[in-house]
Amino acid sequence: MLKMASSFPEEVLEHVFSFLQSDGDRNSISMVCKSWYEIERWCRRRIFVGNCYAVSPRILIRRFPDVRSITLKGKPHFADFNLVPEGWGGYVYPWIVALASAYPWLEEIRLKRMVVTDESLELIAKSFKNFKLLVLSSCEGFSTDGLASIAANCRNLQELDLHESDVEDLSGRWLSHFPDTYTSLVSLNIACLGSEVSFSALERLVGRCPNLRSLRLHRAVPLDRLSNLLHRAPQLVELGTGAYSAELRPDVLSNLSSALSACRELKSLSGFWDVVPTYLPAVYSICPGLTSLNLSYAIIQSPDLIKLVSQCPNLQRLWVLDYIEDVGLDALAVSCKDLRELRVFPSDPFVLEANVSLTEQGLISVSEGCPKLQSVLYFCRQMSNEALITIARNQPNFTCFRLCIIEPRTPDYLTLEPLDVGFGAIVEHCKDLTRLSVSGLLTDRAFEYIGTYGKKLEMLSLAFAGDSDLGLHHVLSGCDNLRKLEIRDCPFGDKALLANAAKLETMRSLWMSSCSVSYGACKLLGQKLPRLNVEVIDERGHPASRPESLPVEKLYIYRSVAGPRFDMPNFVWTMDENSALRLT
Amino acid sequence: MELQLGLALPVLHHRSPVKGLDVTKNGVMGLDIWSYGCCESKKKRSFDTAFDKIGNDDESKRLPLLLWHGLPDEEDDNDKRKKKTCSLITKDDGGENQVVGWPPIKQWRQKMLFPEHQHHGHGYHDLQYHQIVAKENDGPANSMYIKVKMEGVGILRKIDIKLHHSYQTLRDSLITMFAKCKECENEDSADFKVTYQDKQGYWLLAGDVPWQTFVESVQRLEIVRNGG
Repeated sequence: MLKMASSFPEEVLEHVFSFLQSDGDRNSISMVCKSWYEIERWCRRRIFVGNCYAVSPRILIRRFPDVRSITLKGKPHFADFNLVPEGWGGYVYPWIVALASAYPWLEEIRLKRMVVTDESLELIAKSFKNFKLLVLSSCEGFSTDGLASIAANCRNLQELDLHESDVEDLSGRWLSHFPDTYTSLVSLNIACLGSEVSFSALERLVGRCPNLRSLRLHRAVPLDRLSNLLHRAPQLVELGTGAYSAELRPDVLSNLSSALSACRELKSLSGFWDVVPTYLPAVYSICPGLTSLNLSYAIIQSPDLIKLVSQCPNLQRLWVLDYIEDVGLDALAVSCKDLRELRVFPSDPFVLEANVSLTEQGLISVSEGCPKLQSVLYFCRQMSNEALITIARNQPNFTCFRLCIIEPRTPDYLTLEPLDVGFGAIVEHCKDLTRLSVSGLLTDRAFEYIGTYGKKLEMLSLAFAGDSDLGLHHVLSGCDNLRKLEIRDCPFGDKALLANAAKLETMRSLWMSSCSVSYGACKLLGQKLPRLNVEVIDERGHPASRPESLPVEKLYIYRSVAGPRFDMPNFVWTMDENSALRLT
Repeated sequence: MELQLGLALPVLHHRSPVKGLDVTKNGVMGLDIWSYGCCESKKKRSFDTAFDKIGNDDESKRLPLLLWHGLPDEEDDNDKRKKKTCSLITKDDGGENQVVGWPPIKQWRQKMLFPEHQHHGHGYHDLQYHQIVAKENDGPANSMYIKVKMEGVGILRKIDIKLHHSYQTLRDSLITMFAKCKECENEDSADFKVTYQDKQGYWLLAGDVPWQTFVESVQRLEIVRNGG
């Protein structure tokens, strides 16, 4: 078989390989033999780098000479929750410099949690002749000036997505830099911006791009401007509204209703900043076609939410605040039989007392009523083992289950027992679970269940849980497919980590903060496992200034073929064979 | 969907006790070095046996770095539990104890929905926070949402202080906001007074200080009944 394959001309194999879209498949075929490795590397066009410090641009370019699309991720996931100090790293500029000289035909760049400067954006704008797509997801460090140079120079740009990025918003003028001849826009997401843009520039841009499918606006676009925009783009599939409020004028509602009902392709709605419920009926006419609804910034009370979701029988994804309450989730379970993803966010997470009536009952209802549900993020204030067992039995299809009980270490509110058995049921019944976040009172027993059953788990988030090293040992020794493990405030330490050191080489990364890992263990890991970058993050000063047995503040371990990084700020130390020498 | 970064290949040189790599699962032919990991089937790997097997190998010095002795002994564990009540990094803020980064709500979401809590993660970055606030206050289009509670009404509301320029307009909006509540249907607006919590956590009567001073210090609002 292999012999036959190797007798194919390279062009044939290249053609066959071109049908393989998944990175995993491409990785597999490149390991078949030397000639397949060679052929594959020359024709690989899409690259995903899950950690920008795991490989250097030089190594990447040496292996893959003709890349058209690259995805790079920077900071650890816990950066989303403010756990990674400012200035940690994740700078994209060195990457852009290298990509610019190696891949003049690069078309797509997707960045997540990276520091992107205006200089980087200018370089992107000038370097790539046929640049089409820029996604900056949870990125920071750039301003609207950088966006202006993208707008002015990338004539073939199809997608610009600033998803939840922290942009220094100097002015809205950048949008006017798209030239009048520019017509290729397919998708624009500027929901994270603050400054007013020139509405006439926005209207003209929307009007002259016939392929525009997705438009997600920001809060500064008032509701009375929306109908004008929609009239120019009735082909829209995805819409993010601006501020969903206006001075009460009857024509606003009627104009918007007619403009929206003309958008027959609309499948996804988001935005609804500062929503005034009076205007919600404007979207009723398009509700039957909606598959995705993001109301997670919309402060709307339960009755209005029920009216809305009850008219969306084809909804597959709903993001909503807990104002929906149990009664709203009951209605959802009755109306939306196609629901696959549900996220319920807290409207007031910083107080202890509940401000809404949202309990485990809501999640039980949805797990009973929506047979296709596979992904859940649920913030609530009470849970029971019984409820979790019911949910697990109702819904063995979960691939993602993230439950956040807001108060740390909350026990089963009925029995006051730990929630071990409940989460045990989730991992036991949901065989395809790849992502899990646990919360509430949990002992090491919960982690024994997770290690025993969570064979497909790829990402696991733990907080305020477990009671000894045994917990972490169960996870590291049991979860065969674990790629990312993030832990905060758990009493896990040296023993579990050192006993499972080899496991870390198979994972993308491990984050531990406010745990019990000593500086001495970090040093040992770094010295003995040269393929891992072991980074201690401690803002109190160099960990060597304290006894080695004391725990470090934060620890980030990731595998890398590039060696230690060189852009560490003064609160990050890398543990390797030479680190001891460098210190002296 | 991840580029394996060439790590898969080099690992083949070791007899690692770990069987988590994809290659093992996909059953790459002829690589007998993996058979050790595979024959353990679905049973959870016991560390002692894993180490024994590795122990026969000439690379036994490398991994694991520490032997796992089954269950940790009782004494050790108890000792640990006493020592390790995990440190909650808290910050006292007007009586509310907040754990940094908990509940796990994206900074971005916090910024949009709870601007008054945005700085919680950066106890050590207070200076920066104040700079940000100062910058934000320069911009005309910014909002500043404050929680409002009305005595006897179960649900908290939020109001954008920046939309108001005097106590009078603020009071009018608050009355409209809560006018729909059953509890206050038949009551006169003069029956209520507006109190606010300042940065130090004290509750004060709104209207006693100049408007600008009020805007700078207000953390939350509560409407209380006169004589209530």
